[in-house]
Amino acid sequence: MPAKAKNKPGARVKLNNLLLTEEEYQQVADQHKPKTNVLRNCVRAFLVGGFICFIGQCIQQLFMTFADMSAREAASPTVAILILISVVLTSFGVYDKIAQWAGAGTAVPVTGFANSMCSSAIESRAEGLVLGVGANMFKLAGSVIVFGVVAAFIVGVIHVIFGLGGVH
Amino acid sequence: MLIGAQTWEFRSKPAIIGAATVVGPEEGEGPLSHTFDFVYDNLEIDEKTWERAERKLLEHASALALVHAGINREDLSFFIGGDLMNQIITATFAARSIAAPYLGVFGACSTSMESLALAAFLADAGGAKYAMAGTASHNCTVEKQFRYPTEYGSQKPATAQYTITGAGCAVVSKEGKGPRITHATIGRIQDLGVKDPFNMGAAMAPAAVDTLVSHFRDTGRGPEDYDLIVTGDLASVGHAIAKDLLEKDGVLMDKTEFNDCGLMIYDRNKQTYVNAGGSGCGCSAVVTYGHILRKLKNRELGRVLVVATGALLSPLSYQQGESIPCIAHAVALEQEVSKE
Amino acid sequence: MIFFWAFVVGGLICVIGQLMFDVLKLTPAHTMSTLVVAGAVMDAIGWYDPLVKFAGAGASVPITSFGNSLVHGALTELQRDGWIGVITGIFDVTSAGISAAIIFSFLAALVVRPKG
Repeated sequence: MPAKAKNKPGARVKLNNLLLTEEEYQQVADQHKPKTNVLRNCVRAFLVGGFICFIGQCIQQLFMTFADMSAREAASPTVAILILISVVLTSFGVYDKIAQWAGAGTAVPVTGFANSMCSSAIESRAEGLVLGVGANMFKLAGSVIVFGVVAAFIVGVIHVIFGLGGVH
Repeated sequence: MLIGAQTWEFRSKPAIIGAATVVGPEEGEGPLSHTFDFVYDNLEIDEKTWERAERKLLEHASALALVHAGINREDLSFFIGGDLMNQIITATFAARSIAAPYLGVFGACSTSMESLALAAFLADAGGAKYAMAGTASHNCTVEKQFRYPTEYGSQKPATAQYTITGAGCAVVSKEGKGPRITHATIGRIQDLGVKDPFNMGAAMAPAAVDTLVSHFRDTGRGPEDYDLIVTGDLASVGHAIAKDLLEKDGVLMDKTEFNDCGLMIYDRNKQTYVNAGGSGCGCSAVVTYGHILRKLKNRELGRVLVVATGALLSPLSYQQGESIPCIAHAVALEQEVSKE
Repeated sequence: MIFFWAFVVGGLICVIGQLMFDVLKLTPAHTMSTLVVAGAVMDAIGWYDPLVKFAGAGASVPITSFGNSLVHGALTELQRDGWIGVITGIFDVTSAGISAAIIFSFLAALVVRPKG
């Protein structure tokens, strides 16, 4: 018997003698899905993410001590150094292996942002510098920048409308 | 000859007179490493880009297959090939080197059996003297096209599969010796609403079940008529679902050995990076044209059914929130009948 | 003490990200975009700067601080130049991060090939 074309919700697909709706199949599929160990992943993310931020704090302290910067001034070069470390690890093909273990622990810090740009750039080299590297560098990181900028703009507009006048 | 709704029976039982499998380093570390004709020791396959690497695999496999078949390139009537790349560019460039009349097909990971079925049909119907079916896949080209750049740090779930790096080609002819192709069942698109491209097994399982069941119905055969039935790349999650559905449907798969190429090609305990198992066009091709053909030739297996499964999504269809339509094609292989 | 809090706060923000991956089943792109907006909103209500004072790099290293910096840029410029500052100032503070990422990634692409 030919299976019914996918159309209405609740439509049943016939597999030999079995009649299944999409929801029923989803239940079968979910039964066989290996359970994600959320706790284990969170612990790993906590440890690695915390460690990266700890390293960031050390770097920031170095800038504050030896370059005589305030905490606010030291934040930018600290981020730049972390980005450099991330690019180096990505270039050596090591970052993705760490990330498989650490999950959000490597993705959420700025290192994840740098990795998304660096990996896109490296991969697209095959298509040349302009159409490959140049055009594709922001393929993954683009949404972060777009949404960040739009959110900042909206916040600014709200400040203008309500006459809050800027920095609090 | 059409039997039933969607199955071809090949009266002349065309033979696979020569085949070849060429794989990358990770497949060479798996349990079937000794069954491949050539194992490259680097993922770049000595090439500058991933795409060129995939092409080289297919070119190499096709050249070796012709050698094993004992025919010259000029004798080849048709090359039927496909792959996972946009516009099946790998098969196109390989076809350029092969230089035989070319039929490009797209069946995603079911391409191996889709092309083999067509090659057998051509040979059986007298439309080709020698027809070669071939396909290839490469882990990095697929990651780059369908998912993320290869160095991107995303965390893959346990349901994710690992595209194999490898190519398999088989030359089919009415004349000559080799394991015989007796039937081919062409599948219908099945789509039960699975949208997760990191759980292909769940998306493809219904297609495998539908084609398998259609094959039994059209041929009048059952699982007991085969020594081995393999799915192409359902891997651990999809294979378990398929077994479950078949059991619910009253099809007794325990009367035969029911396995999956994606599970056979890697040692999931040692090679944990493959998660649920192998996938890709090359998966069913290299396991069938290597390991399975070998067992048919030395008579350890008498009859085998290979059900290659394919997920027919595009990178864009997934982004647009569409579900994943899938298909499965089955080819029945038999050992060469002995002269006595 | 700030080193300890950098570790803990940074780790906790990453745990939030991990929960978005595993429980909410969001892609990395969706998760990061959400966290950036969250950082922007937190700065808008004045909660992010105290967090940075308290946890140092634990608040300034995660991607949430990117949203914080973008808002800072916009608001600082708004105060200085009036309403046009909302647009002209956005990238002021984050310039280092974005420039560094572009430059280093480009240089990497010149010399390195992906390993797979």
